[in-house]
Amino acid sequence: MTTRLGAIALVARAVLFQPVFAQLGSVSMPYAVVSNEGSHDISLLSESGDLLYTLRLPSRPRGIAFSKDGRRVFVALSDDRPNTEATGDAIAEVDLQARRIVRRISAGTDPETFAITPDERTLFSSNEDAGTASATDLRTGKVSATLVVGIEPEGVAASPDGRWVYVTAETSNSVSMIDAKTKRVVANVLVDARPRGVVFTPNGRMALVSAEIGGTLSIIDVRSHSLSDAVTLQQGRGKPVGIAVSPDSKFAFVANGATHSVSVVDLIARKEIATIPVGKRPWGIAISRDGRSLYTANGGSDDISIIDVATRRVRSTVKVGAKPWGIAVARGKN
Amino acid sequence: MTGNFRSVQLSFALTCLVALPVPLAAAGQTVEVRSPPHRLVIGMLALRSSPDDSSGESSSNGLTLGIEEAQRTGRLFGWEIVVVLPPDSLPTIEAQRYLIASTPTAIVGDLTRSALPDLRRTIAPLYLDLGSAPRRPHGECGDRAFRLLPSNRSAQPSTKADTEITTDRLSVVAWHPALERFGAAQLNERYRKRFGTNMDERAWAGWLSIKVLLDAALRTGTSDHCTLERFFLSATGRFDGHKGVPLFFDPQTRELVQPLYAPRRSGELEMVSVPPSNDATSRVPGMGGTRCAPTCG
Repeated sequence: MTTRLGAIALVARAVLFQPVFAQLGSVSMPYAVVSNEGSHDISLLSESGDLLYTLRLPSRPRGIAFSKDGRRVFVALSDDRPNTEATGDAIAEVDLQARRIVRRISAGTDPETFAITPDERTLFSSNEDAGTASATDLRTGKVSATLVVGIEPEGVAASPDGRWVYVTAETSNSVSMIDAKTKRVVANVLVDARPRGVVFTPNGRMALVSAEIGGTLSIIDVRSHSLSDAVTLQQGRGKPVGIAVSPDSKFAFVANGATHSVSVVDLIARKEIATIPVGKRPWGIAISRDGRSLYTANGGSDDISIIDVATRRVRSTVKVGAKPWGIAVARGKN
Repeated sequence: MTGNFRSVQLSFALTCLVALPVPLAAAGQTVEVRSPPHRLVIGMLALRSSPDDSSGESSSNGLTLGIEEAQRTGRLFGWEIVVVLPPDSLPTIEAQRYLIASTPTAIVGDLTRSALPDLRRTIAPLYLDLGSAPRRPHGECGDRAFRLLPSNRSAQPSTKADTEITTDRLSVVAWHPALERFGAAQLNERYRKRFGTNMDERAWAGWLSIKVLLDAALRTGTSDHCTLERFFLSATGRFDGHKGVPLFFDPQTRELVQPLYAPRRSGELEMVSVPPSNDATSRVPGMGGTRCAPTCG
């Protein structure tokens, strides 16, 4: 009898508390992550923008991305001196449940930004010092190919179908197109002065490139690997860097560092249709899975702006670490 | 002069043999442009300096870095950069005339005043002037030179407040090794790594002279000097010199409009001149229509 009652109690406890445990687990997993290059840490936030915790890192973090399952974060680490190879140069893999770095992935010298192919097998990074892009096999953690791209490479993006990787180069004003399978540069396109960020639209038809000195957003036709248009932002005053695209591929949101604003670009009409004032020197930008919220990392005001896309207004501002640089939002349910 | 001229040659010969295969026409060899527009031929002039002045070496180092980087960027787009040097044996004025006559696209360096009349001929290459000692007032269009370093007029304080703090300034320069933003730190570091010294304004001007030539060639799709000259004078002729704003040549004076900096005794680096980010209203699209109208018409 006692045994039966004990068993019933155990089952009841499991039924009653399991959802609670699961819910607690879900709540504690971060939804957004910010790299703070000034304070050498990352800030982890909930979907509503609450700061969950801060994780100290051994060196300067910049490029940042979630794993597909949202349980790990990859972050590019380098020292404060550009162009000098250091032992701190790596892509760190952070386990969000363990809240610690579980692996350091070799990614060439001075990695600044990177992209992970959709199958999560290969990580492509830009090596500013060497003028190369590195392809790293994520299973072995070793560099499998080094590709010559333009001088001072920066932005890296992988196409949604995993076929292409695009890399910008700030001094050469170029975008190099890499076949992700053969790991060869198949084309180079000249864009406006000082290209920084690059993203693919979710439908994979376009790639967008921000030109910091040119003050434009270049639109590249992915099928032909050719420049199809360039949209001038804020009369060229904005110094655009980070780019995010709505899930329906109709709108681009560009962080304009110099004018403390985000440009909204209609990708069908190919023109800037609005600007949204945000914190100081927005650089990194990300959009929520449902496309309703935008997040900007504001390097000049040590905070992030959370923007309501429908009203194009800042909904809240959250303090993070010093000089926030990059921001990423979890792609899948975590 | 001759010694320094040789150092420029040596620098490029070393580049050719060791570091990077920069195509180099043999000194005195006639350059045949085989497949335009994918070849950019640049004549290098001697850079004048006195034995106790390292500015000539800075310029040649800057040119070397500029050529190496242009070669890399050019390769992405199927362009070849060819450097022409005059024969060793020629005296200064003859060497300059040789380059003017044999270089189809552009000459960079420091022409002596006696060579300038040769540039006034109808068919002559573009000339990017790296000389700045003494910084003569610009605006004399006769020599058709595009100048990358500021004239004394540009470097002078423009307001009373500027004048008051001038005493604290050590100088006004177009570049400084302490610059960091907009890729300046990266450029300074690339130069330091390559030559073991800091990049000064002479070196920066040398580097930029090659960069603007290649940028213009890539954007216009040709190495034709008339087209490049029009591009330099047009509203779209804007360049990134790692200073955070687009740089352009003033069509009135052909002087590069750019931020200038004043290192101060306190150690700070002050920006003393900020060009307008959008100068379209003061420029005549396409041709300029100014005292320095394109030579090619």
